[in-house]
Amino acid sequence: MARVILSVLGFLQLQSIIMAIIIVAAVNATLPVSVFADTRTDAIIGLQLEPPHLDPTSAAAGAIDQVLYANVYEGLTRFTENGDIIPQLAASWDISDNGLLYHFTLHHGVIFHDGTPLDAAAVKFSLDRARSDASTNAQKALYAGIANITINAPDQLTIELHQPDGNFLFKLAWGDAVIIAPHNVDQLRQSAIGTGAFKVKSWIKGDRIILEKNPDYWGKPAQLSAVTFRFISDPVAALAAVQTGEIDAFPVFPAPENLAMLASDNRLALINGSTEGETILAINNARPPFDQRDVRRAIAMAINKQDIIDGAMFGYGTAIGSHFAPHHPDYIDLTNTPGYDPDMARQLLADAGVSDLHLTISLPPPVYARRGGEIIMAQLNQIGITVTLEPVEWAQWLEQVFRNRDYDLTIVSHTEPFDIGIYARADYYFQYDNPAFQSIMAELDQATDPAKRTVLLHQAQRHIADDQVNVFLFQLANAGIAKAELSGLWQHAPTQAMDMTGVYWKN
Amino acid sequence: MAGFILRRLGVLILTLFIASVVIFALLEIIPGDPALTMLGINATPETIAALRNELGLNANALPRYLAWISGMLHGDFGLSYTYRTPVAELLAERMMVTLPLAIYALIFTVLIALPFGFLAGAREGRWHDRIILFFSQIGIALPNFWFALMLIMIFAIQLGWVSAGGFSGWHHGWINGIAELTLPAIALAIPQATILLRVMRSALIETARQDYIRTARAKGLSRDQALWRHGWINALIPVVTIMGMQFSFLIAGAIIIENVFSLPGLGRLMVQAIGQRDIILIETIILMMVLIVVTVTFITDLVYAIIDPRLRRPTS
Repeated sequence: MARVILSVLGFLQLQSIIMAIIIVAAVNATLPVSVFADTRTDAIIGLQLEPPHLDPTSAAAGAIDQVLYANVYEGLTRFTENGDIIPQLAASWDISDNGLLYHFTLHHGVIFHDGTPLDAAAVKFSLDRARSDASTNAQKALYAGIANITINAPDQLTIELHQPDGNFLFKLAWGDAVIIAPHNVDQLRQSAIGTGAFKVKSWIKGDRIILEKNPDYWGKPAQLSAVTFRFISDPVAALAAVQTGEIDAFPVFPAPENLAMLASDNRLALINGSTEGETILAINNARPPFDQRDVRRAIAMAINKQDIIDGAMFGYGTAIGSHFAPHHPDYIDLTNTPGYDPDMARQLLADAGVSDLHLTISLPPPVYARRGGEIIMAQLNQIGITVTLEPVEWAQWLEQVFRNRDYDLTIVSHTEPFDIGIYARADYYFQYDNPAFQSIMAELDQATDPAKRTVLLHQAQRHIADDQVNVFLFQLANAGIAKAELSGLWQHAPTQAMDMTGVYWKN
Repeated sequence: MAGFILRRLGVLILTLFIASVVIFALLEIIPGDPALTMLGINATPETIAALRNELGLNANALPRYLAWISGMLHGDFGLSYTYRTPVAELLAERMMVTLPLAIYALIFTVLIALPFGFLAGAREGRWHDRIILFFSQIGIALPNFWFALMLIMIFAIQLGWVSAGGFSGWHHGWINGIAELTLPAIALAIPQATILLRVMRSALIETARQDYIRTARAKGLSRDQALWRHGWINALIPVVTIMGMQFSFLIAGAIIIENVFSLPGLGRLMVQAIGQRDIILIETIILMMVLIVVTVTFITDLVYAIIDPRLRRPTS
């Protein structure tokens, strides 16, 4: 059954690729004019995946945040386009000297979409719910550091932590920590009652979700009167929807090969920014011979990252050398440690006494993995490694690779922001158990002094690069397309969000 | 006739039961934990355990199977794991796209296949026949996803007559709904119509050689008159057989067409459900498709019996 399903899915993907080529060849530069020229106050945004439900606090599905984050639901703090953390529902805060107490003051006059006021009790309720024993919050671990939440006044509360946490305000900005209306908790999946600049107006399942402007918004009102998110999973269908002009923007476009062609039309503009997705060739560090650093290093030296960016992502992406985003202020460039050197790679393998190496790369569905895998296979063949590619579905990847750690190598993009801490988890699927790195991260968790944090973060990046835990390939690009007149869309994607609150038509 | 229907019904129920066991067993075997798939890679084991508990995944297979079946017999299809809405509601919504689409496509199929098949058969070897056969050859060779994309390119992108996909629902009026389903229905229908056309043609040619047609000719009817009055109805048995099979194909084949046109139908729901390991939803969708297929086969059998009275007698 699994194989049948896989081959059906594979067949669909192959079709899509072939058809994308044909469709591009046939209709290039013949876009209709009429659909582009009109004055509008709404926008139609294309998304590949549909949210399964409307509760951002009980699922990992990125599509939920894409539709609801910042638009419908808000947290105490939030991410900006550039990944900075700014206040949202919290008007201000101060932190006690020992770093354990956070006193928040909430904005006045904030009301939920159903007219009830937001108060400190709603905040306490939301955060307590996320960290409770029965919580099914996908990021529950982020809020485990909270010891206690006390309400001081209707607009004031204090959060007490078990130990100082330099990243606490960042953790509060995640979509999993948004403030929900306590009385709506039983209907969260069906009805989204938040405090945001947009309200959910309707949801035609399988097709679209329509948001409308919230006239009673407490902050700067949205400029658009309505936003429609349409769900188009097939890359060719997405291309057709952009070409007919019926979609105003497809910010994460599923067919990067067509972006250059689309962008050559001056009525369309390219979105090309960065994401938090470190795309890596992950290695099972516990499985011989990959438990030898030199074998991992040989694999790394056999791989030309730019070839993968060009071949699999059509040039969209930035090469990286550690598990850290290039746009982060504390990033250091380790891209060429080690550089591409197949001769040296062969030598390293020979010195390690490894010959006739056969390995399997598990490939989840995204194009970076499926196409990237083929290129990596060719590159590893060059140094005498025989590679078998094994396409897997996500559910299978999660169980087989991630949970059971039954794999040699796999390609995956880690899209969570600032997640270098995963290398301190000895039981994580890389199976990298290194006390020195774990102590760096333990120190970092408690460090609140920015200069000290920078030093520690540099050490951490270097440490996993030197150990060559994985092959760090590239930072996933936020590559998409939008009508040139549509302004205010995020160029970067510090979290999986389509913040529409600042979007407007130029004319 | 009553005995015939009862026998057929028995086969239908047995088929459904066997299908339900096979579907359930297969989904037990394939790798993938619904709770892990929903919560992703940052979830703690305790959170996943909490969700598994909430979803009732910790029970053994047999009680879960029995709960599923007995629930369905009571009209309770359960709650989808990922969508957290009743499965029956999800299916009803999607069925309102897939079923009309399949019926619409079948109407196109029949409207194209029967007249042209009749014409080609009645004019066997003549130029009508050759032209029709030539186009049907092309039709059979067309993969329907490719044909669908060509239709999108021509009618949506180039001419701008219709949208490139999507379905805004029946609440905008049935004319709007029909309009949005027209291109997908044509894309589904054309390859099927060309197959059915050939069946119609050869069945008619076969019928034309029967003794009763010769008798009719001997009584003074022209060839066309004989075929029209006595031939075509007798040629329908193989045509109905193939139509029954084609309807099943139209339901299942809609998976691809629904993707190309971004239609919120059963096929796309199934692909999503498989990806998310929404096991209860997958099981019910597949069983629903099996139900549709066996029901159509059942109806086809009944139609045979109406067309050909000999089939009403039990086989020895």
